[in-house]
Amino acid sequence: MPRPYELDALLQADSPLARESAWKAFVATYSRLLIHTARALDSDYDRAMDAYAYLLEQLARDDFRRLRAYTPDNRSKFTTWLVVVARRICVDRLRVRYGRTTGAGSVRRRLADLLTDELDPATTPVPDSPTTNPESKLRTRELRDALTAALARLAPRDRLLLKLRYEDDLPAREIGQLMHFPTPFHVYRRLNALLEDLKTTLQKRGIDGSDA
Amino acid sequence: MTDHLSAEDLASHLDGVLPPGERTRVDQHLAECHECRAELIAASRVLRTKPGRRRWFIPTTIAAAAAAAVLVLWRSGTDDTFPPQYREPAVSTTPAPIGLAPRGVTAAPVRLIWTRVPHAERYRLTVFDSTGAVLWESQTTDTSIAVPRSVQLRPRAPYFWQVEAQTSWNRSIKSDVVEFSRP
Repeated sequence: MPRPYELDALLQADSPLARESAWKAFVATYSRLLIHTARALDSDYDRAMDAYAYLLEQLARDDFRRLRAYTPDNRSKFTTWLVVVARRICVDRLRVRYGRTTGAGSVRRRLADLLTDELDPATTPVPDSPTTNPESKLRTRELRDALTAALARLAPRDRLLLKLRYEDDLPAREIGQLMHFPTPFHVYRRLNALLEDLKTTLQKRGIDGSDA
Repeated sequence: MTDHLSAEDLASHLDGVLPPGERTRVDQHLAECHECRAELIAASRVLRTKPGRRRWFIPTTIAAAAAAAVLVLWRSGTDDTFPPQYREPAVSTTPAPIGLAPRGVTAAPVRLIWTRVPHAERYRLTVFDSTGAVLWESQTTDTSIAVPRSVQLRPRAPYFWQVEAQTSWNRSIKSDVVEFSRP
């Protein structure tokens, strides 16, 4: 993608007056997107506007150092790049103020556990369940180890698909958009095929969920 | 994992323009790195709901103030030159219906409920399975309808439904596809 006109004018401006005018034009063009990005992290209007003001400050800092980092290379759109950069600036600001969040990992269910469920929900023992006997625990561990090995052999794209679905709990529609599948049905078809493949791999290794 | 994806990599992944070799590298990193995956998901959500490219009065004034505060060397003698916009442009399109229920896991019997579309003459409902095959179709003038028990829905299997509002002859507007499943 070529550099958009507003950015080009800003970075090419050769006098303070021209720069000020170009900056105003740039902000007028992208302010909605930048505010939207700031508000996505904090829905409180005042705090979001504070973040927006900080964002502008950071983008303008050191003679637009961050904006100068954008290289038009016929790849991503400038607006996509700007959202990623703007979001990083806002997140960094939040981290400085409040520290890193640590709770996200605790609510995430492990992919291996869920896949164990998927393989045979009726008969596979629930991992870490207090009612599970030692033999079932051993089988569960074997199953999980085998799954981990099988997952490691998958193509990165397939592994990412499984992570987005089972670890991040994203709906098929959102996964489809993120991974550029034409429809949610394509996501499910691929997921079903992957689960079938994993099941076959495990059965070949002598692990059969239906017998567990 | 210490090295995270660059803004360029993430943006290119979001736009679906990574060359195959680089795509594999980025997918591999994303599959392993929860932080980058979370960033990808969040940025994607921002982009999906981003507003159109339109100039705003209020942000411009804030921008002018920010510019004045930050770029102190720049002379600030001109007024805001962008004309204020006092109202949104007139809405000339029909809003799409929104599927309200079921969403996610739902107990039987399944009743589809959606938002009313002004001037809609009737609504066409379609239920799909995960392969996109149509399991059931029906029409109604109401904004809800029960899926008959004769439609076999397997527990825990993903299903989808969609409503299409017919607003006049040969004109219609569809909702997003909504996912649901049985417990």
